[in-house]
Amino acid sequence: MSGFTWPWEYSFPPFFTVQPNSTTRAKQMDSWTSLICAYCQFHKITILNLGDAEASDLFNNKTLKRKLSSDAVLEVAQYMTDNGKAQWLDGQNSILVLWRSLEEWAKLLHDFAIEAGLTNSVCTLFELVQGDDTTKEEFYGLDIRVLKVFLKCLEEQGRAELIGDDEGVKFFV
Amino acid sequence: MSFGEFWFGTADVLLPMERVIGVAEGVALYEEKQIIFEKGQLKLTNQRLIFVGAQVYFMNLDRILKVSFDAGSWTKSEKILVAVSSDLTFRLSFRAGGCKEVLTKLEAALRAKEWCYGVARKGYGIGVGGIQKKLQMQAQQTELHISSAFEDLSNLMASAKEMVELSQRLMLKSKDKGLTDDETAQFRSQLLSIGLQNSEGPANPSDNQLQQEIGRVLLPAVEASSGIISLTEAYCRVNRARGLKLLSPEDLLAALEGMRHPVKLYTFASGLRVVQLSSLDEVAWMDKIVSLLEETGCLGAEQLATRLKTSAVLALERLLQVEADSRACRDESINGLVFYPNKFLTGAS
Repeated sequence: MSGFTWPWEYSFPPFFTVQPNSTTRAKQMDSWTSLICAYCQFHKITILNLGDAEASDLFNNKTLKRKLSSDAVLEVAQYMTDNGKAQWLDGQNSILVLWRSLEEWAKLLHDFAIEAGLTNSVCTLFELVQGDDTTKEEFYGLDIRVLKVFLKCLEEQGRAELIGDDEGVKFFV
Repeated sequence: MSFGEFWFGTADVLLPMERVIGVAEGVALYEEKQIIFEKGQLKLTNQRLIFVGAQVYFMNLDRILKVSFDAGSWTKSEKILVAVSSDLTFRLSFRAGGCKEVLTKLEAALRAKEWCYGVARKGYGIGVGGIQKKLQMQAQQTELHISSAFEDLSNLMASAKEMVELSQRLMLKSKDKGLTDDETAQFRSQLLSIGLQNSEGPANPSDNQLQQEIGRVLLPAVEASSGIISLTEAYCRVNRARGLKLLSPEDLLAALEGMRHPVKLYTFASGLRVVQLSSLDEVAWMDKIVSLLEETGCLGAEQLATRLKTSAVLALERLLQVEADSRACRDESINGLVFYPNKFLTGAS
């Protein structure tokens, strides 16, 4: 994984043991949250599958011979969702890592729609993440499930409406 | 003299203290050259020769003057010649063999002369039966000793109770006569030293003396092990110093519970109780461990124990204490539990 700079905690063995002291643990969980967000942002990952967390070098430092146990991974995931840094997907099998907040994503999508003059017309979700016109956008290549989460957020703000069987969207000004 | 004077009819039973030492089948009995019984069983016991044929006859071994061996030939069986007087010899013809064997045993029995004292002798007897009897006797003896010992003990306890009562009466009287507190204390301590404790009544002044003694004994040990030792070690050290006047664990604990100086009882968060130097500065101690952690990078309980010259259990307790104070954090791996300085809180520096 070239380029990603691991934080100092990643080579600190206690980082991989859930700390019993609550103050220490809170700090540890914060560190994990920022590491996961940074890692996912760097690699443009939005969905983290917890099932194969151990296979990922994010949770498994092979040089240090330390890895975060699956229970601990779940605990980190819970901590992140509690703090608005992630959302559960597929039950508790994976999380949507919010290295950019929901609102920011929503704004990003809405801004694009206005700029592209898509307001009041319907476009498909597929178009947004895979279409030729969006290749330069940040949300290009997003998982449809993730996109829906962001659009639902917009819908709650009254700035978009999901149409059909959640396959299309109509943006409002 | 003839057969009837030496051999007597009997039932085929053994006498008390009698045991069979040799048996041969197919034996014939002759008086000189004249056959008396053919084909019988010969039993040799430690007291008699018993001939079991159609009838049972026996001869006491003490009647025998001399035995000798007749080797026989290919037509004649081997024989034992039993001389009972200068002119009378009985012959035992072993037609089915076994002559030599019986002869050896007979000679041995004659030498042993067990009949002389076999019955009369007061003892356990010989052989397995004898051993069993001996063990039985010993068991009885032991039981006797034990029960008498317990009797002694209950007597002692009864008299101890009397002595405590007596001491209380004396104490009351001594107060009237204006005995000083010092003298009362001395009296009490003397009672305590013989193991009598007044469970009721006010706090025993002699506890003080005991505590002083404990303090004196434990202080060097505690100082040598970085200000803390386990209760077990304290118990051993105190009793080693006391020699024969042993202190029970309960008494030691009770004395320690009341102590404040120079050592005191300390209970860790885990419930482990230890003897700790009263002057021990908790904060300074934790600082010391934290600086050790920073110096070495990380420490396991064993490593810390070596550095502090204390036991691993106590070192672990110390580390847990530092961890609880948010100044250390743990790394649990296949290499065991290791503690690091809490960089989560202090940062990477």
